[in-house]
Amino acid sequence: MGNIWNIVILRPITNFLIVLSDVLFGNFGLAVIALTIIINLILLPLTIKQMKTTKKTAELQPKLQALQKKYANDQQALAQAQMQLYKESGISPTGCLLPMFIQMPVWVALYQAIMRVMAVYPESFLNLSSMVYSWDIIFKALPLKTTFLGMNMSTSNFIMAILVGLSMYLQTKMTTNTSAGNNPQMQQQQQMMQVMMPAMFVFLAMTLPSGLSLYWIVNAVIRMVMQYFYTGWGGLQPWVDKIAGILHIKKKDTPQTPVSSKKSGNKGSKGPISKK
Amino acid sequence: MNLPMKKIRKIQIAAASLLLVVVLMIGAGCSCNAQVTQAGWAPVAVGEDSVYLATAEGTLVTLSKINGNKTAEDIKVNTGNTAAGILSCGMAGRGTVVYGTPYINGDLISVAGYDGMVYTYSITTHLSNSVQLDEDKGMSIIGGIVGDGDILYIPCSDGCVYALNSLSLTREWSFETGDKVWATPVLDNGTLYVASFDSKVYALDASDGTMKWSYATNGPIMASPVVKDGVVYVCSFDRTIHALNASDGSLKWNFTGSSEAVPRKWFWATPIIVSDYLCAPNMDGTMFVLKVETGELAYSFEYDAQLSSSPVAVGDIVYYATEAGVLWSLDLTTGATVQLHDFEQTIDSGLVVDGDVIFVHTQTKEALYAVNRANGLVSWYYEV
Repeated sequence: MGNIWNIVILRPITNFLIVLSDVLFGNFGLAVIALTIIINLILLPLTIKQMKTTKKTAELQPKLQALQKKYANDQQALAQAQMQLYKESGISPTGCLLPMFIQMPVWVALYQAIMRVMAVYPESFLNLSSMVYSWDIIFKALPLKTTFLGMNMSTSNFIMAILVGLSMYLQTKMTTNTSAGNNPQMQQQQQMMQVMMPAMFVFLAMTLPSGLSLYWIVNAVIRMVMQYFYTGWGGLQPWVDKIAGILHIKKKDTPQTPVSSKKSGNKGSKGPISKK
Repeated sequence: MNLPMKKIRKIQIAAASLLLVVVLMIGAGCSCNAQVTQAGWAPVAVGEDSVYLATAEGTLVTLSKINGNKTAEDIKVNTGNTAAGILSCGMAGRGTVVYGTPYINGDLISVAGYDGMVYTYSITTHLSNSVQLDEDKGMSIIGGIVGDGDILYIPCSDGCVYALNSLSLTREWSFETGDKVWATPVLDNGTLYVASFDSKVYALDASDGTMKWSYATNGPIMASPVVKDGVVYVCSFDRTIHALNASDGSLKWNFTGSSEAVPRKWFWATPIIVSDYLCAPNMDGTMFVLKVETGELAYSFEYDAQLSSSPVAVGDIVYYATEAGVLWSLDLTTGATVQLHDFEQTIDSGLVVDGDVIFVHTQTKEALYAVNRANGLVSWYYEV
């Protein structure tokens, strides 16, 4: 199993990262950014599917709540009605999980590749030898110069850890209103996630090489960009409005407000047109 | 897919929990990748009656050369600031990991730790002293210590090699290279040869650290240089063996391969010179045996595991181990190889020979084996 993992996922990603670093002027930071973008592009169809399902699920929330009220005393009838609703809406309630399960190994492999090529531990560098292809470009590029913007990417960095927390928070906040609808329980859970996840990642970033932090930051930014084009500012809309107000930016009319924002009462929120 | 809402919730909770576990595993550096847990690979230091083993637990163990019994209390090599908590990957409470061979000078044994500290201990009283090698950066030390009397020469990941007085632990001089120095320096006739990850080998005046010459290869250098009869042999990550004139660093010959065998991976382990041959293990699993005078390939032996452990020799016989744990002997007069022992354990640590005994420090299940070099039988072993 370990061998299959190495041959199919880990070795290609590791070698690609090394080649990218060499091509991008021996700059490890740029290589991490480029690889994160490329992998996100490859996984884009899955990500869009995931977003689509999440959005549709959010749109169903008022109807689901109505059903919960209607069948408060009959769980079986409630389950049947919910299933019927999902079926009619053409979504699978577990649809957002499959893309996540497919993407997860890639993220883990990317993490492992970053850890290996940075030679954080002597053992990981020794084992890198068995991971690399016998290409001249690979041997010429190793070991990678792990300095980026004056920071050593192979050691933890406080600023990067803070940036990880900030980007994660913004990303989580952005997705909040798009999926919670008016379900107070779900909103409460999401509010907790908004704080817990970034806090956990800050903690990790402070103990792990900042090359990994760079990957998390870039990944969060890419996710936010994709989210913006799909559902707008989402939970960040009130902040965007405030900032726009402060900066006296003339508001432009937008044809459609993101569904979730509208539902949570953020009237006048801005965002690009959602695709149907 | 008609799943009741409760089931969906359960799946979602399970997925979220799985994600959390993966994130925590990633954080701990343990995910699908036990290799990142530091094991250390320090070859033993051989004293008069004892051998000194720096274990992965960060303990310096003193064992009798004859039977492997402990002859002194263990010494914990650390400063008490070892990582703790869930992210320590089982490192909590351990001493600092040691990669280089400790250096013995009379009653004093010096150990360089991964924490960037140099520790000295009295063998008889265990009185200790320590110093942070690089006060500003606190970078790790991977290479071993080489000494000349009271002076210690220590390579550091900050790119410098330091000369320290082992009694006062004060710095005599330091020399900065362009990248990490993981290879143990070599002292020969007042010249210190330092190999760096910046692809260069430097010849320094050991008394004051001034550079005599430097030579650039096309890849980082992990293996220590070998010096013999006025020639410096350097094995580099550029998959080339370079023979340099020790006087000025000019190239005598280099070996990039022949029609019979080509190095396909890094040269990691330190090569050895036996009679008129240079034996250089490559990570592709090939032992290259070259004629030192011309750099021609005399023999090559291929194995199905990488060779990362540095060989030793007695007379015309070379002893080396594959990473898969097999100990081999090679008689250079006949070119015959014999499998001496299969430890079935990872061996990354360099071998050490003392008389008829070869000391093998295994990594997967950490232990020190004393092997009779004539027949490959284990005389004794100490399991950490």
